[in-house]
Amino acid sequence: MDGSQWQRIDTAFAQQLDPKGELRIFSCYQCKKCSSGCPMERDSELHPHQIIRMVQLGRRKEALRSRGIWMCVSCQTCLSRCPMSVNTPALIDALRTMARRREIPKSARQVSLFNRVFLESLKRLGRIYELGLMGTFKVSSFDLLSDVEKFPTMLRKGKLRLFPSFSGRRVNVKRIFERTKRAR
Amino acid sequence: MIERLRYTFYPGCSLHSTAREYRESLEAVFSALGVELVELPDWTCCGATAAHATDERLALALPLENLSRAAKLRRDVAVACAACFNRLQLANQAVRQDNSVRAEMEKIIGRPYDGSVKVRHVIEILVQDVGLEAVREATRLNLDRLKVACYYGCLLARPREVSIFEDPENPALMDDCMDAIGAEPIEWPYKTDCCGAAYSLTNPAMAVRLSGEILSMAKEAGAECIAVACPLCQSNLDLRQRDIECHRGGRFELPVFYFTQLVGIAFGLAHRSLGLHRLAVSPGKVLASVGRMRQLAAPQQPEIK
Repeated sequence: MDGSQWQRIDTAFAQQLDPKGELRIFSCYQCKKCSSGCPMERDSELHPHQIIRMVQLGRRKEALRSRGIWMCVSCQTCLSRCPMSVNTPALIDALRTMARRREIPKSARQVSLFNRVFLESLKRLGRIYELGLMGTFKVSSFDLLSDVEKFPTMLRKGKLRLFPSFSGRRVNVKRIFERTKRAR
Repeated sequence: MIERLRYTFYPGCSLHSTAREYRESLEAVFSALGVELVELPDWTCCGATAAHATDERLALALPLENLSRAAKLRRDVAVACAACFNRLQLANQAVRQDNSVRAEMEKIIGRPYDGSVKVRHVIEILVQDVGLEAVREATRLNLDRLKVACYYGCLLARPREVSIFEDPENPALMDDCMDAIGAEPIEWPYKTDCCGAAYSLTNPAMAVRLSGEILSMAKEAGAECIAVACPLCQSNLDLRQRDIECHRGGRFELPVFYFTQLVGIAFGLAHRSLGLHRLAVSPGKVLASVGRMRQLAAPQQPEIK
């Protein structure tokens, strides 16, 4: 077999995702313990061990456009069971941070939309105004009807505040948003 | 009588609305035990999952904004919400472990902070600082070995570096606490499985599936109720219980208490002060059936605030 059939793998992708080399991406030897314990495995086309493999091999598109990175619920089971301490949840966060909006598969857009609405509310008030968050999310996702029957129960039980609670330090939060944006 | 314990309290957003009863019951129980919680003035949100899925620096800076201000108060920070606890701990550790992260974060939050504040979960405080002996002494009512499934969820147990448990796969703190108040913590395998957390809004089908597994296992293991320490676990298991029953068929009728509510019941505190009327699945039947809860069996007027 001559060398022409072999390709060097592109490690630039992994380095970009983990510039300090803390996530131990190349320590993964595909034992699949992560995927066996993953609660989202059934909802994702790429399972945790496969996401790590894609990153090791530098297969950007497949990793960044996968539904799997958005289905991750950050339960940390994969990390806590990994024999090599590969930080899969942090790797998935890095992929989500890197993925551009148009790369997100349609079936996963709800998740990134929710994150955006959540952070928008936090930036404005310094805290999360749950009723406002749920309302804005429902309107933005064009899904007004699901779970609508829960609102009266929650209101009756005093579980939803009608008015937002502000933090007197919300300017600090705004500043944090601005400064991290600049550093991005 | 134990000496007076004081903590800076970081409630977090949920304890102000969806998890009000967690806060109410926590404050009632702690004050009965002589523990003082002083709310961190003008605390701000920890960023939760949305922040760490969007930008790592943001996810560290938001908790550190609060911890750096708490540092001036020179007391441990008590946290009740499992998600806040997890984010605060992780941010604290990042600053402690890496000087370049610390320098960067100090620039972003605009004040020095070295990660020295201790972040404590309220179960830790109850079991380790107050002590189970004091909890046993304060117990007035006989819970008659009520069978409780202690459900810890993800964020108190994982990752290992921030876990408050000796064994993150089989935590025991809440079980010990339930045992001390005369309830019976059952053995069951889903103590730290995931309930679906915030996906309850973005992918309800998934939350129904995951929470359904947990409820059905608890039922099968013989639980009469569930005890939790996380606002998201509580709302998924309690508010979604009817959906889950419709989806899977059958009835669970498992009340989902914050562990502080059960402790408060055993202490004989007023049910209203424990927010028991805010639970979606009524606890009346379970508690009346063992003859402890005449007060709750009476019809209650819903409170609108």
